[in-house]
Amino acid sequence: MNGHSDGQGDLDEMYQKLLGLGDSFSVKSHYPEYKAAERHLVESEARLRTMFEAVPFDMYLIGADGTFLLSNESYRRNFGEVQGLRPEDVDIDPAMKAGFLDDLRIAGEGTTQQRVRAVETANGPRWMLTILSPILIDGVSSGVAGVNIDVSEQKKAEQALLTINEDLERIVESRTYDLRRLNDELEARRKALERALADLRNTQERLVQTRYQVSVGRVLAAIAHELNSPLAATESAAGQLASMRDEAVRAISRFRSLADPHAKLVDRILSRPADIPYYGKARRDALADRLASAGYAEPYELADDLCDLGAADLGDEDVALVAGPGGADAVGVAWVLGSMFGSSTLAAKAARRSADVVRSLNAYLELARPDESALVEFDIVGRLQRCADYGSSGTCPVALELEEGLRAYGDPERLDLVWENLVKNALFAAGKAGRVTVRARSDGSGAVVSVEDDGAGVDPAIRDRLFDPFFSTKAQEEGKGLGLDICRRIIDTHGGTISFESIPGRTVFAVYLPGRPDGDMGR
Amino acid sequence: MSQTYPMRKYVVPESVFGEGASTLAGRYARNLGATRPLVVSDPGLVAAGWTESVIESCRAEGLSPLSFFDVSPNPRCTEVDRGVEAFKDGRCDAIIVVGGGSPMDAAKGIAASAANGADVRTFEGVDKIAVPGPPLVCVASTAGTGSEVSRFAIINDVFRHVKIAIVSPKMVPDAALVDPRLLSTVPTDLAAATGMDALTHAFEAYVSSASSALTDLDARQAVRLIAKNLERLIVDPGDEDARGAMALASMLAGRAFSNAGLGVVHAMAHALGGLLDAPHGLCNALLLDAGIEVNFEAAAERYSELALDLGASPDEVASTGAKACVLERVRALRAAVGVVPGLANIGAVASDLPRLAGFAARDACLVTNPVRLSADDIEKIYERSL
Repeated sequence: MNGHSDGQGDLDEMYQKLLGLGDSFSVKSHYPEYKAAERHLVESEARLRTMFEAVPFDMYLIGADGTFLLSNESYRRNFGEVQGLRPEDVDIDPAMKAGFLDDLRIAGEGTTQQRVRAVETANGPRWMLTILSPILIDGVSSGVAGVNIDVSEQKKAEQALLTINEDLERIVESRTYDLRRLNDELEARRKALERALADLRNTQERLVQTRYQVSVGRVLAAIAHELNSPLAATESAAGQLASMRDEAVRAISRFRSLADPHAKLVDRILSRPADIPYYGKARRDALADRLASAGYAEPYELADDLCDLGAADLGDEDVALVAGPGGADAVGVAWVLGSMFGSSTLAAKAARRSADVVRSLNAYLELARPDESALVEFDIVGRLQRCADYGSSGTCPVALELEEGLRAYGDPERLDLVWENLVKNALFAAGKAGRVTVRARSDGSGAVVSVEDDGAGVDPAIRDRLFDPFFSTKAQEEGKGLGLDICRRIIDTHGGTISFESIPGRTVFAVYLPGRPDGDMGR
Repeated sequence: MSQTYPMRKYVVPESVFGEGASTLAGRYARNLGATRPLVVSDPGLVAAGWTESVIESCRAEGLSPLSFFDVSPNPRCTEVDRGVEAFKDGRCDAIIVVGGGSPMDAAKGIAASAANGADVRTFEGVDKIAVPGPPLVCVASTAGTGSEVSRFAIINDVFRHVKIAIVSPKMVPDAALVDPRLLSTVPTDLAAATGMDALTHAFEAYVSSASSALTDLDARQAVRLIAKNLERLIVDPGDEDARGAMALASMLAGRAFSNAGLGVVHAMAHALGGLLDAPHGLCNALLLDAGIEVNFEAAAERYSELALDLGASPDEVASTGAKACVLERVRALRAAVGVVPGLANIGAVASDLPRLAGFAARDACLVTNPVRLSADDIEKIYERSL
């Protein structure tokens, strides 16, 4: 046989392995391994058995044939020796046994069963936890391992805990309820307070306003009163002045008839128009030059007087007359008379105007004064029908939607002022092409009258001032700004309300009039 | 050879030889502790009915056999994987294999792979299996492989296209049941190829560098039986004496090579079979003469003894020369059983040869070849055999 050449180390090694003399291959070569394995098994079993016996609860094994293979000391103490018996034959509470056998069957099919049962014992009722687990060998169930553990203490503790928890929950629930109620109450109170505060503010505003109006009213009344006598005096004086003027005119007429050229001159000078224009310096100087040309030495003062009298364009004859002897005296007479006429006319005009103002103030104050005796139940529909007449060729028409037979309680005359005011305002806002609708309907025992227009609406910036006296959006000549204030005062004296809402294209003023205080109005 | 009797080990499984041996499969399995044996076989044997009779023997013993018949000639590593799966899924505890070399080697691979939890390809080489497999009972169905008594398994690594040799004492089956009756259904061409395979086993074991007095007895007796009976069996497949003799020869040759190892012919045959998926016995038959030529000088005396065993008279050996005589006898037998020489006949081409030589040079069987050969040497042998 040829040996192998050098440098073939791995081949030599392979060759030696192939010869196989390094190990002894026989079935019995595994004997030590088997013995070691057996030893391990024995030790392992001893340890497990010790544990199995020592555990302070029942432990048992049931084989694939359905009989007890093993049971530990605890189990034997409770149930006696059961090895080889079927669980069916073990002496346990029949009621419990049925459930146990069911669980055992399910565990035997491969699913662990775990259950706590109440058991009657000599020491009273106990809670037992039974766990039945399949013994799986290569995934196949080959019996069942079971334990019974007394869990009464845990159960008791659990129930105690449960009770505590429930109590806690109840307490929390009750506290939560209380808190919520308290919270709701607080919220309600807060809202009530808010409302009260708002009411207070409103009342305060109204009070301030009322007080302001009352004081304004008082001042106005006082002024009206104080003005009344002097105005009457002025008026009478102006009257006298006027009659004196008339008297003077008559005297001058008589004087004029004397055909004295100077008298005629005075007449001509005074026959200038009542509204004398103001003549500038050029005219005055021109007249003065003419007077100078006519031989008057100091013509300027005279020219001024003539211009003041409206006689700037005298004829040459008159100029000569004025410039001549006695001419300046005649102008002096004319100037005195002319001034008297002017002043008396002015005084009369002023006195008339003052009286007008005082009268309207009085009317305004009169309106604000409630007059219980004037309140009657009346046919408001009939009154409101007049609203249609407030329209004219210069406005849009007024449409009426009035609840038939509606009656109201109040002062019909003064309320007419309200309707007129509201409708006129609406017509003004709507313009010629717009639409104004007056509606009336019952509301409880009272009545609601509304006036709607499709105008541009009330500028939000002025809404708060809308009812203030002397406030107006109209041009100065068109309104004194008292209309809505008057309306509100009138409605106030009726115990009603007036309000408005406004968006561009729809503004509604609504008046609520309460019914007769003693009851139904029998619509 | 410096020693007349160098120390050698000789391992053989418990063996039963003779008609009816296959009926003991169930009992052997049960005695080995099996309850759910996996019965490995191939479709041909199933069709012949031998597998069913083995399964029946299992049932008769109260076992619950499971079947795995998905094995092809030149068993593949992928088939081994599927077998391992069947073994595990069936929770099997033993393997019974009914078949020739392919099912038996597959069964050995399944056993080792299942026990070690490793891919069968990791066992390539000598003594690479850590844990012995489950009990393995082999029922041989061909006369040639000798696998039923050997520590060898040859698996086709389909990823590398090479047959790998697994050599391990843990591959030795636990029982070898050789029942000549099973050879009655073997086709003639397969009988010829397997017979030549057995002859190659005996030849290579006898000239192996690890041969021993015990293996020599098996090897020479195998050669004698084959020389006398192979042609007879091919000519008359119903010849029960020839059939029994071939069954015995195969088993003896198996014992010889299992313990003494093989040589260059097998190394080359494994590479060839892996590449071309050609029958193992045929590959050996085509390469045996070239193997003798290259090894002759290293074991001239043994070859001349084999020439005698092949039927040559001492005079004939003396006159023609041992080498020519043994080559002539081998080639004559090969021709007599219908094997046409030339690797080209099974599809080998010259361009394959370097790659084949590379694989053969790394084959475990080369370890016990009497001559150390390089890949280049081997490529030249392939060339001569083309």
